[in-house]
Amino acid sequence: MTNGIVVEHLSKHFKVHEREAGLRGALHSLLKRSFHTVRAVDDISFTIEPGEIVGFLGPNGAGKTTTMKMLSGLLHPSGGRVNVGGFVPFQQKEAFKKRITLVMGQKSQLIWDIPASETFLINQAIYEIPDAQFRETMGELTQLLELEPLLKKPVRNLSLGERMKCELAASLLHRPDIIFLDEPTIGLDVNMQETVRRFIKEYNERFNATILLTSHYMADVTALCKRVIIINHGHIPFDGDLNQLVNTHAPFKVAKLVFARPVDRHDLDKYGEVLQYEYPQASIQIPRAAVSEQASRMLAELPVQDFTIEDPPMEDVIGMAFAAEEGA
Amino acid sequence: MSNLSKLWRIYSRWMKIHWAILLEYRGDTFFYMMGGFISPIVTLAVWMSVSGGGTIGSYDTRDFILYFLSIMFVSRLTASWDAWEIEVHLREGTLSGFLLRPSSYLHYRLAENLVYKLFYGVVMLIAWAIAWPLTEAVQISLEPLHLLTIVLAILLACATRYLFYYNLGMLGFWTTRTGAIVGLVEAISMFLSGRIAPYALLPDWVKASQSYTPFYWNLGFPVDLMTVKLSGPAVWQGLGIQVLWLVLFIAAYQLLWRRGLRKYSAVGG
Repeated sequence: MTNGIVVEHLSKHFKVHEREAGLRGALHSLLKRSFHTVRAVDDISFTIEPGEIVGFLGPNGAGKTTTMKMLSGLLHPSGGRVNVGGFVPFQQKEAFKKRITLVMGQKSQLIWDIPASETFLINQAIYEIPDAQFRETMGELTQLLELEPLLKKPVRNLSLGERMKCELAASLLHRPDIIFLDEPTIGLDVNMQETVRRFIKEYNERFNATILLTSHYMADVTALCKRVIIINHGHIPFDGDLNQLVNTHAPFKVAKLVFARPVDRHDLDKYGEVLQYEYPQASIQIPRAAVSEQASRMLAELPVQDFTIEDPPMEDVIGMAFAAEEGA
Repeated sequence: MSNLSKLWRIYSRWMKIHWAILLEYRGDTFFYMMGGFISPIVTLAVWMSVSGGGTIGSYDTRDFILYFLSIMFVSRLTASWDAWEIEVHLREGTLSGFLLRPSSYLHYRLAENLVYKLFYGVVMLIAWAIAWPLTEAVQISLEPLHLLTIVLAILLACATRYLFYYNLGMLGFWTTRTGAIVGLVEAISMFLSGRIAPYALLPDWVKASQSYTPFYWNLGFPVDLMTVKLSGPAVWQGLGIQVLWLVLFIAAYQLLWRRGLRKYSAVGG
């Protein structure tokens, strides 16, 4: 099974009814409805190779989920072409559905009133999973996601994080090789986020699964994705290597220093842009090309007690990429 | 063959799940069932007091009792609540979870309906059997062909009424909320299905409308068979009309589902 994901000039436009707030607005909209078109996704193209994990990033309302819904066949595109694993998603062929899954942190396929194990069993029937494979996969998932204590509780009594783990298990029972993960770590504590990340990585390696992932947690992205696609206002301003994104939009590192005795602030300016100085700590932004030279100068010339060099936080980099596009 | 066995496994799984939910909410189920009995009993009481022990049209006291008992029986068996459920699934976007999986949403819904119908059916048959030796009002003709036509008519009414409400629910693809439309249909149905009064006692213009709406065929007709108000060719003609309505609703289902999915905006998330 090959073919990854090919998206060409994909668009989705929604017609949205708008009304002004208040009684006047309500009356007005009763008599005359006005609509405007929202271009949730506007002419985007990209290709994802089989086995690749790609981070799909963007602010709220950028078009991430809409794109994922088109890729998984839930939404009919307004224009353009999509091919996922050799299928046109919206045709909703059974063979297609057996190869994909879409996990939405906010939406659930789990049956609310009864234990999650019942959802696993119905999925076994729906996906025609042989008993032996079902038991094996279930065993693995139970162990990896620590599901054991959750299996007998009605879903409505689970916490958001517990539900997410069951959701992941239900979605991967049929071993799909194309996976859309929309905020898979939402609601999980830090340890569990780490577990889920490791799990996704392992799954990808074991089944050579193609994975498109959105997340608000940058740790998810940096841990899993070499490549990121950024979407904003329905457009794709960046598609490429995560490192390249950092180099383009954040071509600097941040030196964090702790001084043994006070120094004059003006003395720091020659090394780079001083982001913050409050004795004993300072952070200085240094262009990447000059990092090693400036670092050795600082160590030689300043009363340095402690010294680290860090990449700027991913959130900031993405923020700068968005800002760059807005300005463009 | 393998398709059939897959379907069998899916239905038996869904039915077990719906049965578990029914038991989880047994209080709710009980009150729902009781609620369904109130309106026919009240209507019966009104007719009994109006007739004052005499006869109205061709209906005497025993006829009225049997008529409204049959209404109770058939309307529970043909009830469909899918329009409301589909509206919720559409509005909250939970339909997505079903669309992603390689098995139609219809199977999930039908399995639920079957579980509740089987449950109500068994409970009501037991109640009917208990009442049988106690009063002759519940003793209907047990002639095999007669019973067969009743079963056929009820099954056809079940399927048609089911799809009718299912189709109304699917209007939610366009309007998101369908409660008001369903409410309107319910109100019309109250009158035209024979729920308030036997068709024979309704004004001529209502009787004239019976062929043009599905309401009578989904309730009044099977009840008229049970109470032996119809005989000869009228029985088979009626069954034929039921089949026509069913075919029409199946076609409408296919059209609405196909078109609806294109409109589906997979709300939220």
